[in-house]
Amino acid sequence: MPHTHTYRTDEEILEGLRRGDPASAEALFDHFADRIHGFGLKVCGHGEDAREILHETLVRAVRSVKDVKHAKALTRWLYRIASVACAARRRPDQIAEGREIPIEDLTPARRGGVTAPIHDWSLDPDEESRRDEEKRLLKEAILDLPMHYRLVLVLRDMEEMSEIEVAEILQVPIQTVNPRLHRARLFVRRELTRRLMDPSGGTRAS
Amino acid sequence: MNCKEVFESLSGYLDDELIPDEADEIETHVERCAPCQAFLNTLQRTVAFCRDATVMSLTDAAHAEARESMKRRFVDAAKAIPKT
Repeated sequence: MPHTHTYRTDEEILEGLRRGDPASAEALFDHFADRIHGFGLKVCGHGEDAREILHETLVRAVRSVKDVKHAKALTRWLYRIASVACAARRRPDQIAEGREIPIEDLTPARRGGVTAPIHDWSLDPDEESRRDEEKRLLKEAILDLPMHYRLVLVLRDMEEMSEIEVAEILQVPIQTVNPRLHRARLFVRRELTRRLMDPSGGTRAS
Repeated sequence: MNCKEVFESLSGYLDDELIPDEADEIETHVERCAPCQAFLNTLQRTVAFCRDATVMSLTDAAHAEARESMKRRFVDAAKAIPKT
C-alpha cells in the first residue's frame, strides 16, 4: 500500500482523525506502527502478540480520538492504550499489580553484616558469541518480570520515556515510577546473573 | 553508608539523580567493598543491555510484506468505524 496521504505532523493526523478522513488512519499507521509494534514486542516477546497489540491500539485510537485533547499528547496516549493491551496479556501466575517485590529479595545475601561475594560477569570476555546469548537471556529475564515492573522498565530504559511521561502513560503516581524501575533493574540483573552462571537456570545466584 | 543502603540507591546513582554527597558516599563505599563494586558493575551492564536492545523493525525491507498486511487490516478496520 503506497503512501496516499500528505499528513506530516501529529497535529495534522489528529485533525484528520477528528474529521474522519480515511487517509489519516493510514498516516497514523505510517507514523506510529513501528514504535508501537516494537513496544509490544519488547513487553510481550512474541510477534503475534505485538501485531495484535498494534492493531488493537490503533483501532482503539481511531474509535476514541475525541479523548485526545492535544497533538502533543498523541504519542503518550497511544503508549497508554498499548500498555493496557500488553497488561491484558499478563500471565496469571505473576504477582498482583501494586504489590512490590522487597529489595532484600533482589540483592545479595548478607551474613554477619557482610555481603557475600558476587560474580562480576561484566568483567567476562566480550565475545561475539556471548553477545547473542546475552541478548537472548535479557529477553527471557524481561519476560519473567511481573507486568507492572516490565512496563516501567521498557518505557524508561528501552523507549527512553521520562519519569513524568511514564507516570502519565501508566496512570500511576510519579513517586512509584523510579522505585519500580529500580526493582525491575535489580530483578533483571539477578536473572541475568543466574542464567549467565548456569544456563540451565538451576542455581540461585546473587 | 552500608551495603544495603548502597543497593537501594544504585539506580539513582547510575541515572545521576542523587545529590553529590550521596553519590560521593556510594563511590567511597564501592571502592572498599568488592561485592558492592561487582553489584554496581553488573547492574550498570544490565541497564546498558536494556538501553542497547533492539527488536525487529517493521521498517526493515525484510518485513515489508508483513507491514503491508498489518496496514491493510488496520485501514480496513478504521474505515468500518462509524464517525461520531
